[in-house]
Amino acid sequence: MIQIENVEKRYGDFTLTVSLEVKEGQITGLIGKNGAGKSTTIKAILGLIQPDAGTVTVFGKKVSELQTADREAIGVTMADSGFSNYLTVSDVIGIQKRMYASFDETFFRSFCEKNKMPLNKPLKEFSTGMKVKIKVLSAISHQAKCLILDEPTTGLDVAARNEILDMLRNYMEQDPGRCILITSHISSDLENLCDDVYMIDGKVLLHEDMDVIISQYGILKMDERQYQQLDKAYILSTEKGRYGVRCLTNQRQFYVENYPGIVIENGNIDELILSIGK
Amino acid sequence: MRGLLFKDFRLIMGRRQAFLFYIAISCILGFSMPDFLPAFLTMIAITLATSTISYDEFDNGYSFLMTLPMTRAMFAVEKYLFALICSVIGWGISLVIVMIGNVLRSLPILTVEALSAATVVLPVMLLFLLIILPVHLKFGAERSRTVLLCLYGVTVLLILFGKKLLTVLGISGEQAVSFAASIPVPAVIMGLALLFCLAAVVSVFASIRIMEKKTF
Repeated sequence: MIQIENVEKRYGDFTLTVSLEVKEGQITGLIGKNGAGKSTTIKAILGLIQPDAGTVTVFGKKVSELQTADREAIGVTMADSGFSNYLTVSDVIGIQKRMYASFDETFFRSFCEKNKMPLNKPLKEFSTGMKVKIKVLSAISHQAKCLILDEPTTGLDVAARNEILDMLRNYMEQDPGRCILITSHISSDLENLCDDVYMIDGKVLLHEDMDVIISQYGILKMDERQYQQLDKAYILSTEKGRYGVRCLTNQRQFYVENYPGIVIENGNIDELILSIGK
Repeated sequence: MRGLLFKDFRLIMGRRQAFLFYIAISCILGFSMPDFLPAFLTMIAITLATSTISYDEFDNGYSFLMTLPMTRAMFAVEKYLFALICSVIGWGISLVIVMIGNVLRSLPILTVEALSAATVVLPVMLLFLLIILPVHLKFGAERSRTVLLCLYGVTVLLILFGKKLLTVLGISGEQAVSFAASIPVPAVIMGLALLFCLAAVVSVFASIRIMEKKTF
């Protein structure tokens, strides 16, 4: 559905070089530290910036060749952008109704009613959580085939985040031909949602299925002596500190079986960012 | 396009207090300076219409807007269409206010002279719109003020230069005016209409180009 091939974008000293693919039926996560290039990647997919090299295709077409009908099949939330805060929810409904042939007004209104969202209040008077819900609701209420979501859960409490994640799961369950590309700083959101994840920092550092990260990746914690004796064949990164050595592995079971004396923790996205993203 | 027009319409409708203020001023002008009212209200309508660009760029709004199902050319053209609709509505309201004022003062409802003067106002104001829209789209609401001031300065300099050129060529002001007056009125109207159309085409294509080149 979305394919990025060798895209390059330079901003002064920073260069982003990225290739990634979002497949039909999949939820793909894009993770990385601040300034790693996540938003730049999203903007390249949406045609908001012109890459210096490489190609971006959505639904098999170059972004510059996407027609209005193709764009109707894309739902977007941006971290720092959305409908004007001077508009009301009723205005948003009116705009979407006129822009998207498949806009589901009943679904939109019933969601607002269920969440007690005032229809005639300007968005600027909404709480952060309400605003985010409106953004995600707008993205999923016109039968888009593909969602591109930049930090949709940032700034929300756990309950609001879970509601957003549920909305996204429901969206995927309705049609197996859909896909989602999502960026987030909140690792647990991605762990519970994504099928695969790309980790970037100017370039792709890692692409792995989420199941593999959860089941095979691990953090080994040991002292210097244990580290010297360790088989480092499956060590992806090592960090030496005052209290010992931490290693990231993608073969946790190997170390569980062969090194019973060292502490081994399950892998997660936070550890990946901390270990690989250094 | 319909969605964008609806958005801009809703954005300016949110400025109810400004509307009431302008209507109050217009009513006063309708009685005191009826000849000036069409120009005033059309200009206000154009200003309100172009202010939607500020709303669009506020809080990085452009980034999201450009992901909606439309081309950037459609976005640019919609701004012209919306401003044109607003101008015509503003101009129309001004005429209605002038006519009501005339009726209340027991004057002829609308003289041919007043209608002719008001009719001239509309294309002049639209010409102004053709200049400011690409400037607004290119430089944004803040910087465009400076750029427009510079443009006015350049225009004044060009007029002064033209005047100087006539003097150098030995053509007096009276001669120039009598030459202009000798041109048949239909030819003048045709010529101005052609120039207006040319300006419109240049302005719209410039705005489309500006939007297509923008990155967000």
